[in-house]
This record gives sequence, structure tokens and C-alpha cells, in this order.
Amino acid sequence: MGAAPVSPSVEIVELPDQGRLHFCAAAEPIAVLVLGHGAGGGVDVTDLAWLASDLPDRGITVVRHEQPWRALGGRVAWPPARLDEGWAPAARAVAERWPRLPVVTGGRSAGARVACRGAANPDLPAVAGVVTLAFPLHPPGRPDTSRIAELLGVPVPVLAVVGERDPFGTPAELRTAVGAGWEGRNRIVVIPGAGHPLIPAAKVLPRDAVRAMIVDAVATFVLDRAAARE
Amino acid sequence: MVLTTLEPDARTGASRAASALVSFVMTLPDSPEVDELPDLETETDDERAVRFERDAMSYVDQLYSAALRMTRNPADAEDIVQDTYLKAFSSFHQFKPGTNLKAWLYRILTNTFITGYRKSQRQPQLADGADVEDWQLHRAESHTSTGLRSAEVEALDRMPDGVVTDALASLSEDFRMAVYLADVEGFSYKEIAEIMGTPIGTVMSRLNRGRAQLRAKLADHAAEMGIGVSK
Amino acid sequence: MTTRRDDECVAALKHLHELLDDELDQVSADAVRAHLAACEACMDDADALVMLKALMKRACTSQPAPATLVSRISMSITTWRTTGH
Repeated sequence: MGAAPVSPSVEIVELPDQGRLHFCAAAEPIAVLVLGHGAGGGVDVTDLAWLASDLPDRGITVVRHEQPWRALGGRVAWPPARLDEGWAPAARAVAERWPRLPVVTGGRSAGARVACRGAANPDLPAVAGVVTLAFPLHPPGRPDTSRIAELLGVPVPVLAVVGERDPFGTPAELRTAVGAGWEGRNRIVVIPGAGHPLIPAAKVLPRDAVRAMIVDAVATFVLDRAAARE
Repeated sequence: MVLTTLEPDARTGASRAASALVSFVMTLPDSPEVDELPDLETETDDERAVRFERDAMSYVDQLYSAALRMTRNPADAEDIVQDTYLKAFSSFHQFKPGTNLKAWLYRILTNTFITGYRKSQRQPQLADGADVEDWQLHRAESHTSTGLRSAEVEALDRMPDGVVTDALASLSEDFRMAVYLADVEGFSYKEIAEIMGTPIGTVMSRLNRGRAQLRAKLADHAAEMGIGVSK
Repeated sequence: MTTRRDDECVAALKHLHELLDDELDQVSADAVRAHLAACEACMDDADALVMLKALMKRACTSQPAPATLVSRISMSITTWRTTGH
């Protein structure tokens, strides 16, 4: 099966640094969700496409940010510091376009790290929450190296969607790393049997069910953050 | 009035300010709303101290919780939070009122942890931004996704550890050392040059040739095993 | 899979190790990335080198030293220092 078809109304806008924003607007938005992609794919990978397609009907405008390295046709991603530079104009453009709406940021894999670092960056507009999809806690096979500080450094609530068997960091490893008490203000949602792409084998969980799990978890979180208006 | 616990010029006498900070944590009033932005031109040191106490100290619990997760022990967590507040206080005149104070504090906390404590901890090491390139991790890991990996890469991925270490051991010492220092220990070219006592150009040459030899040896092994690597 | 190696490939391959080791300046890195986007053969080389690096880490990462060894070492250092070497 290919990626889910995205809602027909996708507006693509090019940023001055040659990155791109892919807008899927809700008719009457309650909140905005900005998502970045990872090192191994672009904005049309399955989970990002699902969110872009399904969240607007729930009042959430979804903006997917395509990093310049990817928009220019590359296959080798930039290092983290440069990804952060690519993220800044996206974050600012969204805040400028919807100055009165709560903004939640997030991303998949390396993009999740970018969103976490961005949320802790006082030079960027404040965000109401962060959604991580397959946060890469450690490189595969090297559980001794950890990016946990980036996740812990987020000053607002986090929703972490984690594949049960993700070699970049299982839910158990994540829970150990964040420690007791992290869940409460923050949330971990586990996709059973799933690896880094967050898609388990169909016999473990049908695709429709996975889609619903991910979309519901993210929608609920974003709308909660919008209601809290912290 | 808690003002009196602070030295007049809190930018000197750092240790006095540090213990003062700790002592007045216990006497914090509730933080009122920030109604007006202060005028940084006319604000006195005392006024800034009050503002810091009012605005920044309210985050101490959250910062401590975050520090506890980073350091995994309460003594280090307290040290880090203390350092964080000290740094925050001493640079508070640079903080733009009305912008995101909480994020500013968290950033100082994270930087304090990364620069000060990472090296003193044996586990877990923090992966520095530059240490591990995400695109490499992703390409090395993508065996389930698209099947677009070459036969050579597939064969390498299936190589048993013993074969890999044997291949490394069979390299000449200079090549072996360069590859080990770069790929296992993660040293930079400059660091490897210092360790091995050679110019950087020599390091690069040894690394290139060492890796090329490894690749060839492992391809030979794969061919012998009948793992279809075309040569 | 193309096996042609033209001048562009030679130039990119020259810097491929440096790209992998994060030793390239931004401009040079961009040039290599741009070539990799366009050239399957060089991307295959890059993939092989990436896999090789990963293999090294996987096969050679050592265990932490036991605590007893660490304390023995620090004791011997103390002894050495106090006996006025």
C-alpha cells in the first residue's frame, strides 16, 4: 500500500531558504500543528500524510515543513544544527500567519528532535506543545548514547508516539530515560508491534486501526493544548 | 524583604550569590502576573534581582525535575540547577523581558548539563549534534523499508562480529588505529592526528585506505560464503 | 546500477569520507550531497561506507571496565604520587 492520499487542498509555499511549507487548512481552525520530517523520507511518509489528511476535519490546520536539503532533491540530510536553521523560518512564518491560534510543533524522527530543540529556543515563537513521532532516543544498537536531554529540555507538554519495537528507542527505554513522573504532564502513546515507521504488520494491527490510533492521539493532544492555552 | 539576602553587585562574588539563591528559594512569594514590561535602561540592580526572584524562581521545581532525569542522581541535579540559576541570574540583564523566560531557563539548564556534566558521566553519554549523523543511521537501518540497498550493503549488514573484528585486526597497525579511533571512538581528524602524532593529511589517507581495505576484505569473505556480492 | 566514474564522481568520492566523518565545511558538504542526489554509484559507495562505520561500532564497542579495576588504578596512582616517584 502506498502513502495515504492527502486531502486535496494542499497549499505549498516556498520559504526564502528554499524549504517548503505544505499547508492543509481546517475550515475553522482551533489550532495549528507544524510537523517536520526525518532524515529518511519527506513530508509524504505515511504517518505525516495521515495527520495532514485527517486533522483538518477536527479543526486542526496541519503545516508540514520540508527542509531545504529535501526540497532540493537531496538524499543526504543536513546535520542537526543546520536543520534547526531550516526550521526557524517555518516556525516564524506559521506564527505570523496565525498570530492568535495556539501552535503545536512536532515531527518524525530527526524532525522530532528539531521540534524539541526549537521549543526550547527563546528566539523562536513560543509553542503550546510538542508532538514526537518515533523520537530517535539513541542510534540503533547503541543504547548507551542518548538524546534524552533534548526531550527533557522541552518547556511545554509533550506527546511521544513510540513504536513498540523501534530500534531507535523502545517505549520501555523511553520511560526509563524520562523517569517516573514525566507522564502526567506529558504523554507516551505506544503503537503495538511497530518499528521506526510506526506501522506494524497488518496482522498485528490493521492499518485503519493504526491510523486511528495515531490521528486520535495527536488530535486529542493538540486540542487539549489549545484548550489549556498555557 | 528578600532583597537583603543578595549582595549589591551580584555579578561578582558568584559563590555568595549562589548560596543566597539557595536560601531565598525557601522564602519565595507567589509569582504575580507580569503586568508591565520593565524599562531595562532605568532598572536598578536591586529591581532586577526582585524581578528575577519573582519571574524565574517559580520554575525551580520543573527545572529540578528535568535535571534529575538528566543526571539520574539528586546531588548532581541540585548542582546543575544551582549552576543554572547562577548563570541565569548573572545574564538576566541580557534576557529580553516579555519573551519566553521558561525556554530561556531550560536552554541554560540543558547547556549546563551538556557542557559540564556529560564528560564526567560514564553512562549515558549524550550524543552531540555532530557525533552521530541522522542520515547515516537511517540509511544503515533501512533494511525493512524499500529494499533499495545494494547487495554489498546487505552483505555487510549480515556480517558476524567475529568476521568484522578479524578483518580489522588484519589491517596494518596504522590503518587499524585510524579506523578504530574514527569509527569506534568517534574522534575528530584533528584529535586522531594528535593521538597518532601525524599530520591530518596522513590521518585522512590512512582512514581512506584502511576503510577501502576493510571493504575489500569483507567483500571477499562474503563472496567466499556465497553471499551474492558482485566484485 | 551505473558503474561509470566521471570527473564529478572522482571529486565527490575524494570528499566522501570527510562527509561521513562530519569534517567538511558547509559548501563542500553541499557539493557532495548534490552529487549523491544525482549519482547512484556514488550513493552506493556512501551507503557501503556508512554500513562499514556502523559495523565497526557494532562489533568493536567495548564493555565498561569493572569497578574493581578502576579503583585499583586510582589506588596505584595515589601510591605512585605519594612515594615521590
